[in-house]
Amino acid sequence: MAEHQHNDRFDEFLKNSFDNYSESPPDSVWEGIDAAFSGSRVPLWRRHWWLGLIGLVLLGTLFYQHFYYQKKLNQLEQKLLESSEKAVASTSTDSASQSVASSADELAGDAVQSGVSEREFISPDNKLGGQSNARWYEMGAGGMMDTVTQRPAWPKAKLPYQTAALPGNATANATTESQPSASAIDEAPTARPTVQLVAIAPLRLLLHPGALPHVDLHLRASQMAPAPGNLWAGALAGMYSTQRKFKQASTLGHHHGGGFPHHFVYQSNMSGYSTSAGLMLEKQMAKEWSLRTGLLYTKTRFSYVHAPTFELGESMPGMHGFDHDFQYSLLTPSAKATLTLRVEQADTTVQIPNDENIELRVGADQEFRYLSIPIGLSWRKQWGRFGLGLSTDFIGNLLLGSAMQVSSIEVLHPDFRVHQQGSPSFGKLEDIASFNVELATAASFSVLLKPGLRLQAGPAMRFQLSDSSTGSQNGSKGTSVGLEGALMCRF
Amino acid sequence: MDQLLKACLKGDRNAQKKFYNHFKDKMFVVCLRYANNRQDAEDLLQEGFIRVFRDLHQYHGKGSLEGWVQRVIVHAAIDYIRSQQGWMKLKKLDSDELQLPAEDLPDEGAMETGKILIALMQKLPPGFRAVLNMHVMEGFTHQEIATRLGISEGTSKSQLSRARQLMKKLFEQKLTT
Repeated sequence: MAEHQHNDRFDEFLKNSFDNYSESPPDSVWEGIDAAFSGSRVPLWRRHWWLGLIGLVLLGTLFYQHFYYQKKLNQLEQKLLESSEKAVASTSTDSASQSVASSADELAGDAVQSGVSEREFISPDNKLGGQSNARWYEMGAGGMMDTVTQRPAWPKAKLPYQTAALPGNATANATTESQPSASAIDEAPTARPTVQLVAIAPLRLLLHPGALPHVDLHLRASQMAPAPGNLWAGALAGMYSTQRKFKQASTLGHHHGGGFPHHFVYQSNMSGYSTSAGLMLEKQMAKEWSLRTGLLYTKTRFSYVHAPTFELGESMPGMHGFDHDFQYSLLTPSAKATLTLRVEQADTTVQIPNDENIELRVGADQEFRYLSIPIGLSWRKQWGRFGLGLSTDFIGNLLLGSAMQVSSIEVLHPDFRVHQQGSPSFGKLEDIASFNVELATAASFSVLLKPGLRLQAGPAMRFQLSDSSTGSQNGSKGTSVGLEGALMCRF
Repeated sequence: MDQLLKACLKGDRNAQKKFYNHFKDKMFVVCLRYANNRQDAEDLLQEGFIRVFRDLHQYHGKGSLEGWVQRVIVHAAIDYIRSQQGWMKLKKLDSDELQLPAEDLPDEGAMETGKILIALMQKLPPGFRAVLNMHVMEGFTHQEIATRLGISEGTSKSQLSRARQLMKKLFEQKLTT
């Protein structure tokens, strides 16, 4: 007994002496800490590599578009050149053509003199910004265009076919078969050229942004090419089965304090489900390719059971008697809950040994809400009314909020019962990342319900690229697999 | 302190330095208690604060920040003790070993008791030192010490008893010289 007291006094003496003593370390310690963090700092490109990838995809698309249309334009130019040569050859062998009006300007003059209203279309050789050499006219009574009763007349003139060198890389083309030879003009005066393609090479447009407004294309809508430039917009909804890896921790201590609390840490794969809904926009850039973006609301919900096991005994002061109050703190990525639990011994006649293991099971539901912005590419092939599409997107998820709910509490021991005292108190945590990035891929089968209205559905996958937790050791990434459906309308 | 903590969590190096300056003296004493010598204590303090900044997000405001920082440093110290080869070897110390060389002890007139005790503590075998620190200074139970050091509870108790005896003996020797 005396030795015990002596020990206590000595322990107290040691404790007080060390508590009242302090000593400064040398500056080199901080330098070492500083150097350790400087060395391990994640470089900027590794933190934002996905932005670069998006940029590369967009740049690649732009270049692809540019070269695709450049090639198309070259082919057209070649075609027009050949057609022009054919037309010239045909004219030189036909003397009848001499009686035909020699220029479109003359024709224009006639038209104006006759008091007939006129509409002007761009001529294939009309150089914008320069002198007009020839114009096409489309005449209608009273200035009204009636395509049924009054077919626009093809000018009875020999038109030199050339590719129009338009700023902004716009061009108009006339089909070879619609080009009238001198003899054909007499036989089929109503034949007229149809504009097949108006192409804009995006790269040139990007490099010369002011060029396009100078293009004064007086083309009818029906004469415009259907692509590119189609905008599809609509509602998208998806449901996914989600798995995410998270570290969760809990602490169990005696309600009245004292002792060293038990810490439990779990690194686990949590399963849950996500739902996503919102608006999507698709800008058709080529026949089958579209750029897409949108605004989605995403809700992810996980259910998880925490199962801490602890031993009755000296590490749990107060474990005497038949009722034991504990404070259980549960830290999940979405929130922190503190529960006051009362563990009661069911049969008080049984002597429970101190080293008896008790396992608690605390069920929790976690919820994360995000505003999601996808940016990506899609490819779609149509076969009549039906189509098949593939898409890939980077999805930026902005955290709107998170929540947790304790769903169940039980003790897995036949001699004990557990009750929750009062309501759990929840706290917000700040170790959940406010932003994360996912890579999404989807396939969809579509059907055109009517022209310009498309219903599509198919499987989708999402891979989380960046951590959804700011905890350096958490490493919380996940995957989702599910179904997506959309109703898209063409504008 | 909340502002400082938030800035540290964002990785603000100036804030981290302020944070370090705030706790460094007290934590250095903790490291001196566990380490074999001053150089090891400096290394331990550096390792401990690297862990503190790395795991700072795990501090959720419950309990004192100083207590949390000290726990992290102590865990680093326990790892340090366990990393030493033969730390658990319970050698029989003869009277020569218990005799501290005069140059190891600080000048009593100028030094505080704490400094003397640190010098004595560093003379203890690592296993004794760990158990004595963990039980007396940190309040660990023998079961917890056994779990954390990977020894039996009985060993923990006997090491503590012998560590106490040795410390008392060394201190008495110091007082009588």
